Amino acid sequence: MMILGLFSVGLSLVFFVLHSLLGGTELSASEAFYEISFSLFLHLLLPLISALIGTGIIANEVEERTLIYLLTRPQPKWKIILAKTLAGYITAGLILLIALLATYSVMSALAGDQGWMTLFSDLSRICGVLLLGLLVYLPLFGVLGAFLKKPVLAGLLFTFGWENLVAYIPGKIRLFTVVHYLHDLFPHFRKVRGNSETAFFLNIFITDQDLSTPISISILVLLAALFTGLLLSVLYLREYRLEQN
Amino acid sequence: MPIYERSYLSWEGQLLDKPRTWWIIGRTGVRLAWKKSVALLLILAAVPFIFRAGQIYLSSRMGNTSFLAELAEGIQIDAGFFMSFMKDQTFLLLLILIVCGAGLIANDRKFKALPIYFSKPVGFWDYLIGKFLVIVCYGGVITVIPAILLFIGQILLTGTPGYFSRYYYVPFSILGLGAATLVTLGGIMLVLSALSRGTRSAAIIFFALVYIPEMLRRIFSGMNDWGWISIRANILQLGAILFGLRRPYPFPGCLAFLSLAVVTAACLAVLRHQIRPTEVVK
Repeated sequence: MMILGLFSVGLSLVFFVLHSLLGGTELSASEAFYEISFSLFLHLLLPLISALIGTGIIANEVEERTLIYLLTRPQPKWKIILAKTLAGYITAGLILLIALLATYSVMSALAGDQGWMTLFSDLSRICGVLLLGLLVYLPLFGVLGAFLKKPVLAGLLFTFGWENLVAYIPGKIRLFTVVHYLHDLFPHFRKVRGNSETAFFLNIFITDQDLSTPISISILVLLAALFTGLLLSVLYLREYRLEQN
Repeated sequence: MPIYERSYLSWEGQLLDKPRTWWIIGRTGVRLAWKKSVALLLILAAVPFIFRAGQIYLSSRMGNTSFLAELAEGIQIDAGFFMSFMKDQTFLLLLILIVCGAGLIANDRKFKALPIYFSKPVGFWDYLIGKFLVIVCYGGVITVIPAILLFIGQILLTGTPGYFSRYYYVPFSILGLGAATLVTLGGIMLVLSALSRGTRSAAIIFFALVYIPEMLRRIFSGMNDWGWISIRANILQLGAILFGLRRPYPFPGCLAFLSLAVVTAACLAVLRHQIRPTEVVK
């Protein structure tokens, strides 16, 4: 997972350095950071890392046939799942934040004229959005991992299929996606209007801020609570047996 | 009442020089993959095909006399139409490759089945071709075969020899692009399957490897000369050349081909290193 984070950060930095050296279109360090944090971190790394960790919370124990032994411990079932979820959350959060901070630091160092603190408030906000997104996606994928045989497929279909498809449908159907509320909280949309291909896609995804910040946060927290509750109750709802063969 | 000797009975069959074990491995792989969620994905992948078939029907049947003439005029059934269809199938192709390919080698390594494979008259190439056959089978079903069917449908519906004489190269382009896509993406999937012990991590990393460079290429769209770093961009560039269309990116077509060839060669080298056949003792 760390390799995944480092790969994306390393590649984005290589691109940025080459872009600066070759004198491409006018894309400043701050604009590049916003676009990278939005496209790469929010739309790709967040769901991918969540899927990788989340689907494994219960599914890994089932596949390795260790869940039965885990449940023999003198601990309530919900506590075991909660601990595993928290561990996953911290791991995924650290990977995302370290990768984001590394990208931001190197980009602000390369920009030269701008100090590290220039975009610090937006950086903090982006970190908050990612952590909030993780709070929803991780238990969501955990539930998928507990109930489905192909949780990664379902997760990819949901995040890269449904959530992207809905962006092209007019009306309020976007309210049925998680990423919509994350978009509302993301500082990017009120700051950057580039001419790149990404800017074109961003304009399709989001037109204006639909909901106020407290409402978006409340909905995300509610979704997180719902999915976490479902995940914690999985072991009570479903019986896992050790296969004899 | 017959009395059987309860001792070892020697096999009296004939050993084949070339037993085509790759075919057996491939056939079994296809059968096993079918038991996964492939059917659902194939149904999903059929939706764009039906939509495109509808477009072909509209453009050929509505003509100038119909009230849908304006709509039909907007649909150009040229080489770009088939290229566009194959391009649109990419996301589902990735999902199909994940479902079929993530566990192909990973499961054999996980359950330590490789020594069992190679204790039989199975070589590295037999094993690899057999596994690759699974990817080609399901990948081809949603890309190459429907594109060819659409082309045949267009020929049959228009009924004019002029169309075929103008676009006779399209089936070859479809085959070429399909082969380039499946060899490259299939190779990457097999490498990740061979490197990772779990199917989930192989699937996620595969998705990341394809999409992260493409996303960065989009962000830094000012430096399209470096677009060859994205596998997807390379495939599209190569496809545009094969279909005789305007190239979508400014980097040379040979660079796209070279880039895909390097990726494939690297995949082969890694697979050669990871899949080590033991010596067969006869």
